Order: sequence, then structure tokens, then C-alpha cells
Amino acid sequence: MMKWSTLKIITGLVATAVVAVTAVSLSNEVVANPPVTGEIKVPQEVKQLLERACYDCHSNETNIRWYDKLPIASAIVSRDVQEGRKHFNFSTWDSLSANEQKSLLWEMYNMANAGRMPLPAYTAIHPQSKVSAADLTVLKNYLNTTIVSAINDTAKVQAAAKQRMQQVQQPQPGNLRVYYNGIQHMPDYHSWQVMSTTSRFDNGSMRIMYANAIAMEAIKRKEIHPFPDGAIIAKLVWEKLEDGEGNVRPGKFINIQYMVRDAQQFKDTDGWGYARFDGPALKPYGTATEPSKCASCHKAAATTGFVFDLPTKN
Amino acid sequence: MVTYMKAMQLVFAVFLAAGILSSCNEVSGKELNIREYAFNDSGLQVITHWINEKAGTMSVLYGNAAAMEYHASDTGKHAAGESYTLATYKQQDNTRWYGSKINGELQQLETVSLEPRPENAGTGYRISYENRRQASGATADTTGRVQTILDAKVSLFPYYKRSTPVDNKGFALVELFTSEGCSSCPPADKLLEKLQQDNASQPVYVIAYHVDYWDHQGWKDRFSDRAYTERQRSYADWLRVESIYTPQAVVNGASEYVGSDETRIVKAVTSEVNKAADNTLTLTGQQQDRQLTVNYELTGQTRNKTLFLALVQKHAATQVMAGENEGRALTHVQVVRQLLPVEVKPSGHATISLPADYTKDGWELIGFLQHTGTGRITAATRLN
Repeated sequence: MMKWSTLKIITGLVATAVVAVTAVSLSNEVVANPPVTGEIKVPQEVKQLLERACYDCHSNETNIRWYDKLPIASAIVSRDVQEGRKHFNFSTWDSLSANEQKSLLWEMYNMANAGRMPLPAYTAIHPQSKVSAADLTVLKNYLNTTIVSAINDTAKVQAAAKQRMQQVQQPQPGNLRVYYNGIQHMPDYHSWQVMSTTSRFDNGSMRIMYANAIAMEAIKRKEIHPFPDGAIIAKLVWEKLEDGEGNVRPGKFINIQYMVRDAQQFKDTDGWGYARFDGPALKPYGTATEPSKCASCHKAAATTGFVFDLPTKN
Repeated sequence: MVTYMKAMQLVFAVFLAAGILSSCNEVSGKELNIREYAFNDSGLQVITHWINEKAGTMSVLYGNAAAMEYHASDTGKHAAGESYTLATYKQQDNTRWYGSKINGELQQLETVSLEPRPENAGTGYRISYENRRQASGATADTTGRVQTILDAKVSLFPYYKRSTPVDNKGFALVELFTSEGCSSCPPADKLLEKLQQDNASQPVYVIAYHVDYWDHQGWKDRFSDRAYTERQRSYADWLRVESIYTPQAVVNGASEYVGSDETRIVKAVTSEVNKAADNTLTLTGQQQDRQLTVNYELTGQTRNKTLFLALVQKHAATQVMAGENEGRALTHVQVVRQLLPVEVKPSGHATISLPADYTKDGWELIGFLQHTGTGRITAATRLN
């Protein structure tokens, strides 16, 4: 009994001291809330979920609690909000293209489904922001309503025909394209082994993934944690052409994407260098910040060495 | 007290957060269920791929160098030597990305090989199946399947380097099925000798198998063996020939002719020599007493292919005392005395016991790689 009360008194004193010290050092402004210019428009049920789970970091309506202003905590909060808004911001959603909006919503679902988002450290302090299985179903049902059928889409058929014409007429690019992180287009990809093929119903594309000899050997030996340096995966993306009979064939070539393994060179992006070249002209996509965006999404595939399209037994 | 609780929760949370952040890239020890690779496609290149939503399958169509050439040249005319492989997989959910379906279990492999068919001056085809599940209605229509594969259009690919198996020089292996007991055979033996002499500087290899089904017509051919008759029966299946006969010549396992039909055999040999080979085969060997150890090295796609080592006696003469050739003195060239199938690896070795009448100068060893589904011979060479 005696022991218990002594402990209680000491703990109380320490706690009081902590509260006293921290109270005077609360940050006044952790992050500013700029104006909301073009907010996301989704059904009420979805909107409420986003507000509850995502808005603190992914909007200009960040709700700063008093404990977010504590030292250390305020620095973390400030960093997370800045990063979050940079990735996407529901308050300026209108500034994104329809395609960008769509792909972000699917990414959100998959990041939440993989337990990557909201950040576990954030939900530990803000338990009300946790995304439940029921919440995931709400989001999934909404996504399913956004799937557009492309059966006998003549615009897509013509786009493929046009690209074919141009490809026949124009010589292939003489200089190899180089991405912001130094990754080059690799014309040998076509001789690598096919790792997998995918059919994407979220964005109407179909893909072939090739693995170079080092990557293929690692996969065969199931030694992919981590993948060895020198492993390369190339992903080719085409638009789907559907005939209404269930037959889907590749139409227009959209892009080629690379994952190049070098634990040292690409240590900021989990050891993988990411690159994407668009269209037959292989135009480097986006800006220099693109590889880090790729890496953040690929965290959802950490269990398969950050590679989404590894064939596994379900 | 509420404040105190909040503060403790916060201190705890900060520690928790630090722990989570530092372990962000670690992966739980969860057992990974990576699918075994059921189809090794090295040596082939992708032509296109497609999805069948009704069947829930996804397929990849591959071609050999000749098939890629067809798709690059855009002449619209298929030619002998093209080979296509269609790998069809079950489609399954990609558990790491909702919105994506991925290939699952391999359902079947279909290979279409285009072969010269001189009799109708066109090109014939052969189709072989592997990994096939219960025959379904969709694949029972062979002609339809072949048409689907041959009519497929190449996908739009960004710039890539064409593979150059064109460096693999063409070759011709002429296999003659003959017998001392058949009166039509001596001219075929003569032609075989002529082919060898005329093509001394070319990668043209000739071998003669003496079949055993004439042995009961009065004269037993001392070089005959039941195994060679069986081999000829395999060709009857592969080349869709109704019955076996002598003399029969098969060129690269792809086309067959009456063994004395010089014009057509020479034409087939020339055509094969000018075509790129799918594999390369290199043989080296050491003889120790009556044992010959043969080392081989292979490049290119070797799936479903068997390496055959033929131990050949270069010359032989027989005075025939009975049967159709009674009273004739026959001379033979390139008589196969042993045929050894070897399981294929990229490189390996095999040991052959040499017979008592073996001499180093009078015999030789010829190796060739054959597809077990179609019979096509994709590489041949001799041990120097």
C-alpha cells in the first residue's frame, strides 16, 4: 500500500512538471490553413470519411489539437501536413486533371487497404481517424461506380491506328531517353523474361512486366527481401480495346516504366529507382519529384519487395 | 487529471511514432507465396498479349526470331520456320492492388510451327499442346486456334533492340530411313552419299537409320534396330504421314520426302541452311578406352527439347544374299549404330560405350536438338 501511494505521488509530480514545462513551450502556429479554392466533390458518405481520416494532412482545413503544438510533436505534424498537401490536397482538388483525380482515389483506397494510410503514428494519437473495414467498403463501392466500360470505343481504336501509322513512318528515337534520376530507357527489355501481365479495371489499361536476368533469378529463388542490386523490372502499359465479347487487346501504347535496384544510389526511395517514359517518343514523365511519389505508393507492396505485380498464389 | 492522461498518451504516442517511423521499411516475417515459374520464355519475344474476360484468362503470344521477322517486315506472308507459342494463364485478383488483375496459374501452352509443304507449294502448320487442362470446346477447334495465333497483330512496342539469333547459322539434318531388304533403297543411299559430298563445306549432316520391318522379308539387315522403326513412327505422327515406308528422308524433322527424290530434298536442304536456327549446339569430347564422354553446350530456348547423340559408322558394305536385293553388293554411308537421347540442360555431358568395331577414323558423332512436341530439329552439329 505504502509503496503504491509513493509511486503515485512521484508519478504525479513528474507529470505535473512535464505539463508545466510543455504548457509554456506550445507552438503558436504549427501549420497555416490557406483558403479552400476547389474542394473535392464526392457523395456525402465518402466526403465524411475523407474529412475524418485524411483532411488533417491532405487539405487546407487541418485541425490542430493542443497536443499537436507540443515540442517534437509540432515538428512531426508540420512535416506530415506539408508532405500530405504536396502529395494531394482535397481543398485544391479542382486543379487536378480528371485522370489524376481518379488515379489518386484508387491509390488512397489501396494505401488504406495496405494499412499504410492514414499514417499509423497519426492514428495512434487520433484514433477517431482510423479507417475501418466498413469505411473501406464505402470507398470501394464509390470507386466501383467510377469504372467506365470501354467496349467498342472508336476513339481508342483510332488512337491506336494513328499511333501505329506514326510509328511506321517515323524512325525510332536515336538518342536514348534519360530520366531525372539518371535511369535510361533500355532497348534490351524486349529480350527479358515476362514476369507477369495485368489487367487494370481502375484505369482501363493492360500491362506486361519484364524482369531482367538478375531480377528473374531473385524471384525464382524467392530472395527478394531486398531485391539484389542490378535487378530491373520494366512495365509496358497499353490502353485496352474491348470488343463486347469479352476479348481485350492492347491499343495505344501509353508508357514504359522502370524499377531499377541500387540500394545505395536510390536509398531515398527504398533502394529502387523509378522512371517513366510516355508514348512512342518516350518522353520523360512529370518532374524531378516523380520518383519519390512512385516510391511512396510502392510502399503498399513492401511485402513483395515494393513490386506490386509479382505473381503470387492468393 | 484529464490533462495528465492526455500528456501520458502523448508521450507514449511519440515513442510509438518513433518506433513505427524507424521500422517503416521492415517487412514482417510473413511467408511469401511467390508463384513458381511454369513457363520459361527465354529465347522467345513477345508479339502481343490479350485478355478473355468471359473465360477469365490472360494470354501472352511469343515468337521465335523468324516470327518476329514476319511481324517486323509486314509482308503479310507467313513463312516456314516461324514458331509461335501462346501461354494462357488463369486471371486472378492482385491482392496488393484493388483495380488490378494478374496472371495466376498457367493453363496451357500452344505452339504453332510453320513447316514447308512442297506438295501444295504452300506452308503447313503443326500445333502442339502442353499443360492442357481438360479439353474444352474453345481449344478443340485446332484450325481456329492456329488462325487466331497466326492472325494476331503485333502490339505497339517502344523502341527495342531486335534479338539477333540470326547469327545462329542455319543447318540441315537429313535423316534417311532405309533397309538392305528393300529394293528401292539403294538409290536413296547413293543420294545420301552425294548430299554429303556436295555439301562438304556446309553445315549439312546426313545419317541413315536401318529399320527392322524388312527383316522378315528374306534378308536380315545387320544394322537394323526396332528403335529406328519407332523413331520413324514418331515422324509419321509429327508429319501426319499415314504409314511408314522406305526409303524416307526427313529434313530437320520438318518435312519428309521419298528418299531418292533428289530435287525436292536438295531444295529443302538449301532452304534450311539459309534459315536462322533457334539454338546453337557445341560438342566436345574425350575418349578413354571404350568410353566416349561428350560435353555439350546449348543456347536459346530449350524447353521441351531433347538432345540426341547419334554414333555413326561412316561407311559399310554388305553382300546381300537374299530378299529383294539378293545378289547385290550394297554400300552404305553414315549408318546410325547408336542413338542416345539426353535430358537437356544449358550444358552437361553424356557417356557413350563404344562398340567393338569402333575406329576413330571410321566413325563420328552427330548431335541434334529436337522439339518433342513438333519433331522440329532446332540445332545440329558434329563432334570434331
